Amino acid sequence: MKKNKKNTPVTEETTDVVEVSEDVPASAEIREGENEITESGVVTDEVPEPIETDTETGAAEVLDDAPALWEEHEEDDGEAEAAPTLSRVRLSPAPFVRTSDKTRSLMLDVIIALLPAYLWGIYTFGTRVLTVGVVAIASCVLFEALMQLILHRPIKIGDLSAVVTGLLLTMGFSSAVPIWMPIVGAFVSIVIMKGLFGGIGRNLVNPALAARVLLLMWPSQLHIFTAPGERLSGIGLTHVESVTTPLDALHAGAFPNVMLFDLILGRTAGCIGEIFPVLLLAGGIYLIVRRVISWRIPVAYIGTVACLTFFFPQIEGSNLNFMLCELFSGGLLLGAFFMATDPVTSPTTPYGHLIYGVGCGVLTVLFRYFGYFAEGMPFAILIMNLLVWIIDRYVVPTPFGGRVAHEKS
Amino acid sequence: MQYSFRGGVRLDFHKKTRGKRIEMLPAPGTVTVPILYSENRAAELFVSVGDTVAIGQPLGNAGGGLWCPVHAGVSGRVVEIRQGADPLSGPYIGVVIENDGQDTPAPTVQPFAKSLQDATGEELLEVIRNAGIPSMVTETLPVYAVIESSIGRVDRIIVNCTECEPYLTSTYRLLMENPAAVINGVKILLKAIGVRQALLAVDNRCMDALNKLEKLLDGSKMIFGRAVDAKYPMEERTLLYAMTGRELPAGKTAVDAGCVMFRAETCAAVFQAFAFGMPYVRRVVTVAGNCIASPKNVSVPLGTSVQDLIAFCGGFRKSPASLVLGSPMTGCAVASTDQLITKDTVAVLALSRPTAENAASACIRCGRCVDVCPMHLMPHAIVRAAERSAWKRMDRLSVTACMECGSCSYVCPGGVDVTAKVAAAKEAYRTHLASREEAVEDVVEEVVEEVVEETVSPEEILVPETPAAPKEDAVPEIISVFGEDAAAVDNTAKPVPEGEKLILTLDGKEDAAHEEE
Repeated sequence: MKKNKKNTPVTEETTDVVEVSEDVPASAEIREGENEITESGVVTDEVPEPIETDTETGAAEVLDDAPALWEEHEEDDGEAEAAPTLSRVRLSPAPFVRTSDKTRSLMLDVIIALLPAYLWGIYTFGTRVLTVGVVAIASCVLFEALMQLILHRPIKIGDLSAVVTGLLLTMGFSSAVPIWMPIVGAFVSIVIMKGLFGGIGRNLVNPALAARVLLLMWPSQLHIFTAPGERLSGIGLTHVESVTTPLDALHAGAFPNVMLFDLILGRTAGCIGEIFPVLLLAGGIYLIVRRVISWRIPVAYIGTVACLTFFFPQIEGSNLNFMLCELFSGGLLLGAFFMATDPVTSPTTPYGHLIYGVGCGVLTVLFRYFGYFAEGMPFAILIMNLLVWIIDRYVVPTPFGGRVAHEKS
Repeated sequence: MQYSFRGGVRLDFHKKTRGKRIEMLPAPGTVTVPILYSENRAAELFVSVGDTVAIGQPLGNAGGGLWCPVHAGVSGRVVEIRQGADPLSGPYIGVVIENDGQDTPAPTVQPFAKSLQDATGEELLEVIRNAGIPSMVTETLPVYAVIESSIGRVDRIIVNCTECEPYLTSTYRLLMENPAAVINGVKILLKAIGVRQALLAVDNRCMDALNKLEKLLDGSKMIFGRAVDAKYPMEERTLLYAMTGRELPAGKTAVDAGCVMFRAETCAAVFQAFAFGMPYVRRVVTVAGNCIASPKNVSVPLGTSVQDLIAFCGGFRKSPASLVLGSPMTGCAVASTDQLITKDTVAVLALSRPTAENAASACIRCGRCVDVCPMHLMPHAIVRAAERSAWKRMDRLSVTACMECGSCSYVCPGGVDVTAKVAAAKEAYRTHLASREEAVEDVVEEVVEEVVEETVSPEEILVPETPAAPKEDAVPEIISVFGEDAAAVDNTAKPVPEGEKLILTLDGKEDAAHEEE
């Protein structure tokens, strides 16, 4: 691409149309003008450098020396066609470029962020966890497809949202859950909570959470927790000795009888996906970095819980210890990073995020302190889900340049 | 310090024509120079069929807000004058010129007689007016109108040299190949407006162009280069905010905030008009997209058909799925190549990937549209409100503030055409407002007529001491129909029955007679 010939071949057209770059005398005249301006004092500008109008600085050297400030998605040019036609041309509204981030890629990111904690669940509680997960995810996807088939909607299981629901459902079960529960849970979440409300983007509450709360109708079967390291396998359920989880202990008014260290590193009894706070934290940070979720909801949520439990501990003893136990036991982190941030059921404005996060935090602590169940996260998030429309209604950002009201309010 | 604004998107680059010099399109056999007009103002035509025209000869005055001359870009004979409509610019009168290949310049194409120092602002303005240069910042206005409105009201010029959209490289190439023309244009504008400071805003992905400008500006105390965050959209309001921190309220232009804004192309065109007397007859168009055989930047005479332009760029290499006139974010899809290159055509793009929403698209309320909206709106909420025709909610969401930049559609992971829907909502809302006002006006008129007919007989007007009492029941009845608009109806209806106002409409004689009494 060396085109450094000075004033590349001047064609007839270019001479006559008098391109700026071809004509030196005229620009010289301007220079003269500038000089005089300076003398006259009307304009105090300095004389500019002689105006270079040559093409010395042609194509080759200017290429690609601008810093690459962000990653560029290279365009796929594809193969050339023998006889291109205009028959494929469709009229569509602007813009004609779109981001490569699709719903599917967001969901994939959520799955990636959830996987470490889930794998830890498999490691700690045995292959039965894998069975539960497969059953939950498979039935979610199946119900989603059936629902769309029956309603004559396009089949959209490829967007992976049903897989995320199934995975979140699994994360909240214990390893000893009866195998019909994931199936019923999948039905409740996908068919009742999502499909009947109009499908993806239309549900009022987080489907996985709603199913989890509904399944509390069978608390005795839902709340059988195995000790860490007691690995179950197979589908059927042998008799399992239930152990006390840290959260149960806190709810009963005593510090859990595990080291804080074990609590943080996932060596406690509890739900499949909730026992390893470090991995959940890592997954949450991954989502924030990938801009899948906003940092405001988890920070407001966890921050509120931290403040309330630190300043108003329920158990005598070290405030800090109590706060850390509350933060790292139960499903708080899973809820804060993966459930409260569900885009469909959370507010969309920055201030809305904060209000919603704080609301979740306050309700979680209230349910944990005064509720019947040890866990408060699902109820808190569900209630805040139902309040999202109010938040979005009244927290409207001021438009750029101020609001112009046409209607009398 | 980073010159930036909240919201906006950083778009992919896709700028393969970056390293390619601007090429001159040999004037095609025929061009159809579009003389734009609008409903409000008709265009004026100076030529008729059979006339011989030369390059730079005025053909007519564009109507509408663009009241400025339009010139021939080729020399030849006018063979036809026809009506047409451009998807970007609207209706036009097309002057079809058959190129004679002589490229005779018009006698009016002469350099400005004086040097810049001797010229007065009015003379410079005249030169710019006659050159028919569009503003490219405030659409629908020619640049002379912008200058006129800014004289005495601004303290600096901001030159928008940014080019944040994918594919487009014409501004970048202009800055690389002819920075002197831009700077000289700015000097002419400084002189014409009579201000002492100009800032050249170049986006920070084009630092080489900025360096080039700064080399030429070395030591200048009036013109400065500035690197701004390469965010889209970088247009009047966002750039003004980025450079000065001033937020423009809706309906205001940069001039109201004490700055006047031009684009780099405008400055170069001003310089051309001054130094060579060449009016705005050619513009640089980026022809790009993965379906174009050899993408390039081409300097095209206005009125060239898209067909000729694409042929010059080697034709298509693949069947395009969308053919776009204008920029990739705000341009317009067309179905055929017989459109024209107008003053607004920044680019011609042939893209192989369809972008429109399909059956699988769905909003998941992720809020990304809220994050990127440069006007800080909630596009997804506007779309939902529009589905329910919730006018009050749409008002609360400031639907009319949308500038249709396309950022929300760009980021939507659900693949929804958010921008198009918000634009439709805006239109529907405006129609709703207008129809409501009309309805109110109709009622007011009715009431007025009724009241006048029933209560004010000529005798009563002549005896103003006993003003006719309005029929009490006439007004409230209408009000109850309109509920919330009661106040509006009431206020407008009230003054009418009072006899004194009606007196003013009588002629002087009777008025005088009344005074004598």
